[in-house]
Amino acid sequence: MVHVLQIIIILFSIFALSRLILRRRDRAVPLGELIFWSIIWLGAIAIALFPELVASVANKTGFSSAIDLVIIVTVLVLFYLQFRLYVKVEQQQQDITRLVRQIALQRKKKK
Amino acid sequence: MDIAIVIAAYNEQGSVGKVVKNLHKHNYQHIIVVDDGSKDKTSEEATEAGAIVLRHIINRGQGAALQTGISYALKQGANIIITFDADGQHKAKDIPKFIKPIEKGEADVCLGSRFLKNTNNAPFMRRVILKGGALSLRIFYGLKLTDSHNGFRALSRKAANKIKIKSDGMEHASEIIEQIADNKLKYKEIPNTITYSDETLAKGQGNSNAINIMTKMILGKLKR
Repeated sequence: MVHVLQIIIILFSIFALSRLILRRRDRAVPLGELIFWSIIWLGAIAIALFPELVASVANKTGFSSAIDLVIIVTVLVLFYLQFRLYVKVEQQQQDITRLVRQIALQRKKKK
Repeated sequence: MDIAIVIAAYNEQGSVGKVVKNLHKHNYQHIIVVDDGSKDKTSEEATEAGAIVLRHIINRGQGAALQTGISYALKQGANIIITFDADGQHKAKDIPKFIKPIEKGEADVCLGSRFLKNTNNAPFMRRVILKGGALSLRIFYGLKLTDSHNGFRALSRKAANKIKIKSDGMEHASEIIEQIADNKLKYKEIPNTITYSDETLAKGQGNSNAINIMTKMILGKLKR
C-alpha cells in the first residue's frame, strides 16, 4: 500500500530537483552544490520509495523506529547547513564592510 | 600627524561637534571622525567643528567605523592612535594619561577602565554586566582586566598595525582584547572618568546586548 505521505515526499522532491536544475541552468548553482542537493532530494525519494530500507538500518543502529532515524539525521543536516550559512553570511558582512571602508578612504583621498 | 584621535559616530548630531571642539581646545589637532552612515547631520557638524571626516555610505557598526579611522590614521603616519566616544562620555583631560605609557614604551595599548578607581557613576545593572564581561574575557583570552567594554583606548603604531578589527558591531571590544593577547602586546589599564547621563545610556548599548556579544565570542572561538 502506498501512503499519501510517500507521494507528497516524492512530488515535493521532484519539484525541488526541478528548481535545482533550473537554477543550475542560470549558472547560479556551482557543481558541488548541485551534487550535494541532488543527493539530498534523491535520498528523500529513495526513502519514500523504500521505507523498509530505513527501517532495517534503524533496527541495526538501535533506533526505536525509522521515523526517529530520519528525523535525527535531518535535524543534524539542517544544523550543519545553518552553520555553513552563518559562516557565509559573516564572510559577506566582512566583505561589505571592507568595501564601505575602501570607499570612505578613497573619497577622502580625492578631496 | 603624531597623535590621532579616532571617533566613530552614528547619528551623533548635537554631541559630536561639541566633542570635537573640546578636543581642539585641549590642543589635539588630528581628530578623525568616521561617520558610520548617519541619517542626521553628523558629518556636517563634525566637519564644521574642524574634524577630518570619513563617511561610511551605509551603517556598518562601531567596530567597522573604528577600523576605518585607524586605517586612515596609520596611512597619515600617526604614531599614537586614541579611540574616543562621540557622545561626550569621555573626558579629553584623561588623554595624556593614555599617551604617556606608550611614549615611554611601557605599553603598546592602553585601555580605559572605569573600575580601577571609583571614577564613575555606572548604574548597578551596567556594573554587573561589565564585570561579567571582564570575567569572561579572562576566561576566554587570559587577560586580567577590570573593565571589558570601554571605548577609550590608546594604541601605539605597532599595535594599531597588528590589531585588525573584523567584528563590525560592539563585539569589537572583546576582539581587540583577544588580539592583544594573540599578538602578546603590552597593555595597561588606565582609570578614566565616564559620565553617564540619560542620553548616553539611551544611546549606548542596551544591557541586553551583552548576551549577543557573549554568543559571538563563543562562535568566534569555535570558528577558529
